[in-house]
Amino acid sequence: MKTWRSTFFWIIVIAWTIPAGAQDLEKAERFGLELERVVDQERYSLDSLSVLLESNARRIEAEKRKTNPDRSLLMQWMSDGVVLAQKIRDQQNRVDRIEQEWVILQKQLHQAYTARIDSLSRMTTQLASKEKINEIEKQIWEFSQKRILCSPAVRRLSFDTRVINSISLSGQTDSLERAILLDYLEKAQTEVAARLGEVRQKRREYASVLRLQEKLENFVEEISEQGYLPISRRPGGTLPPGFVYVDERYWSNQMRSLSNLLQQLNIRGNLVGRVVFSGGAASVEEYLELLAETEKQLADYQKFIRNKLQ
Amino acid sequence: MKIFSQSRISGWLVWSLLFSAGAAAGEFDLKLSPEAGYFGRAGDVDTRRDFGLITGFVTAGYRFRQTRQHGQIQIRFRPEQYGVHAATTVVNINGNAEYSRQWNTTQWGLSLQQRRMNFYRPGGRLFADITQVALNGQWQDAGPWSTEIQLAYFARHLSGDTRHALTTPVAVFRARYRKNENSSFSFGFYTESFKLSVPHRPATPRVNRGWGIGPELNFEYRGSQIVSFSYLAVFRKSDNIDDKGHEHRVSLLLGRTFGDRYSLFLFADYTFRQLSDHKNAVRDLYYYSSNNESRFYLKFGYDLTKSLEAFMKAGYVRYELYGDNSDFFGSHVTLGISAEL
Repeated sequence: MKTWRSTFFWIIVIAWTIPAGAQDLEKAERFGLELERVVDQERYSLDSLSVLLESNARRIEAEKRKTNPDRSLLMQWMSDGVVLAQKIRDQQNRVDRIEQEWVILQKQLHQAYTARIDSLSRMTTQLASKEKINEIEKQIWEFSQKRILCSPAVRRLSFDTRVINSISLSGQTDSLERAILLDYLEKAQTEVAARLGEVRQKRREYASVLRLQEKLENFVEEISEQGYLPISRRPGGTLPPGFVYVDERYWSNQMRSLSNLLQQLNIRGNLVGRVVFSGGAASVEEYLELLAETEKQLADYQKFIRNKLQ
Repeated sequence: MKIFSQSRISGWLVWSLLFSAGAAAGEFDLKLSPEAGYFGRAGDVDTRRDFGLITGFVTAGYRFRQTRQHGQIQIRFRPEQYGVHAATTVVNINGNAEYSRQWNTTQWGLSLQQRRMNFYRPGGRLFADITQVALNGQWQDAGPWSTEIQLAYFARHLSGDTRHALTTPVAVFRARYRKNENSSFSFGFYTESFKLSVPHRPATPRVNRGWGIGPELNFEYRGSQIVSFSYLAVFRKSDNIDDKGHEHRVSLLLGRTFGDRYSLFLFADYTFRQLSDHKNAVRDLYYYSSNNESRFYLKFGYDLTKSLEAFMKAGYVRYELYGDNSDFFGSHVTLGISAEL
């Protein structure tokens, strides 16, 4: 708890100081890395608790199936289950809060990098020395790379999905409360539709990349067949077919944002972990499967909200 | 016997890889791709104009991918018939396997290729056995730079109307600069040594040895479209006969998809050689690099379904035939269907 409080304190401090100067930017970057580490650690604890809860549920089921179950043992395990469920809720809240702050920090870093890139670009038009221009262009490239790292694959949903799940318009007699809930549901529906559009767009982009790669692979095979090749002629050196080069941090950022979204939709299981990432390259095929799954879940959730509205 | 032992060794390596790959979860694929169309040829082999090209291939393969390793094994059979009246037939059988593994920032790959090419033309025949073993290594720096090394051993044995054997160990050292996730530029240094023998040559010398070195440049863009350009220059010197020369090779590959169904690819490969014309030098002992052709291909595809593609190909190809001072060249336009089963 202490760690969380100090983390929160630093977030606030850094959030205020980001636009200040280069040193502050470096501090914010370092803090961003630290925060990423904390997020991963907290998520790992959450996953471990979920595994414990599942295994507890399995042993309860197994005991119940016995002809003569041990009631005191069952009571003990059920009580463990209640404690674990509460711990998971607390841990989930903690993860949500840290991630929310992490998203804010990423957004601020994104803005800071954009500001730096804009000001450096303006400088290049005023300089005459080719050496200095080259130096500044190098800096622009570095900031552009950093900015890419801060761009999430898809943003989290701003509303609380647990609230949506608990809403029932049919049971509402108070017209004001009904109007508020209706508004909440409609806004949620609009946001889900927007996220669905983003995910669909990304899936189409990568589907097109994969299609092009597969066709390229066939074409290269055909032309290789008809010629003698003393050395490998596959474009991209040792890059295997169906893979694209991605920056490791950028990739983990993308995966984390998708994982967050799936968690918000209450999808458990490590769907993100199925995507193969090797040697700085990611498998497009598995990434597409993940995007398709996310798209399906969002579409289902959209229907779920629509049903509530009806 | 030498050919046989080489085939056996590479065959053994291919099967070893197949068994080790079998332990991992992977997938099998089978492809069929018949095509037919017009072929117009001219040249030293047959000056008559002739029509008709029937070709196609069958490919059976297995591939697997895991977090830090991937592998692929493939066998391909491709018969080609050029012309009707004075037909030239080429039968290609190609087996290849590759395996790659990553350790931290290092990636290693091994690839093997064994190929048999039977060339039947009016009044003659030529058989080629080609073996290629290549080892690739790549070191990725934390920044945009990576270093690559490719070591390859290439052996080609010709039989039939002519007897000719070439072995070429090749090493390429390369530095790659990755500008972003889509584009990269690399420059490298190519080295080779070669041994060429013509055992039934009536006069000596019957063997030629030598070496070659030269720079290599590559540019590549892989995004919504593909652009790949490479240039290789090799300067060669022979030990046994007084021939030296240089060779320049330029390749360009372009590809892109249009909408959900159309695709277009273009490949051009042009080799230019300048050989000295010394009185002691004889053509059949000149060294020809392992690539013996210039070619141009254009392929336009339309996806009928997810696994069925109709395509049109147009191209020009020029083979240098060894030993008999002749070329085989012509242009073609074909229509075909490619199916993945």
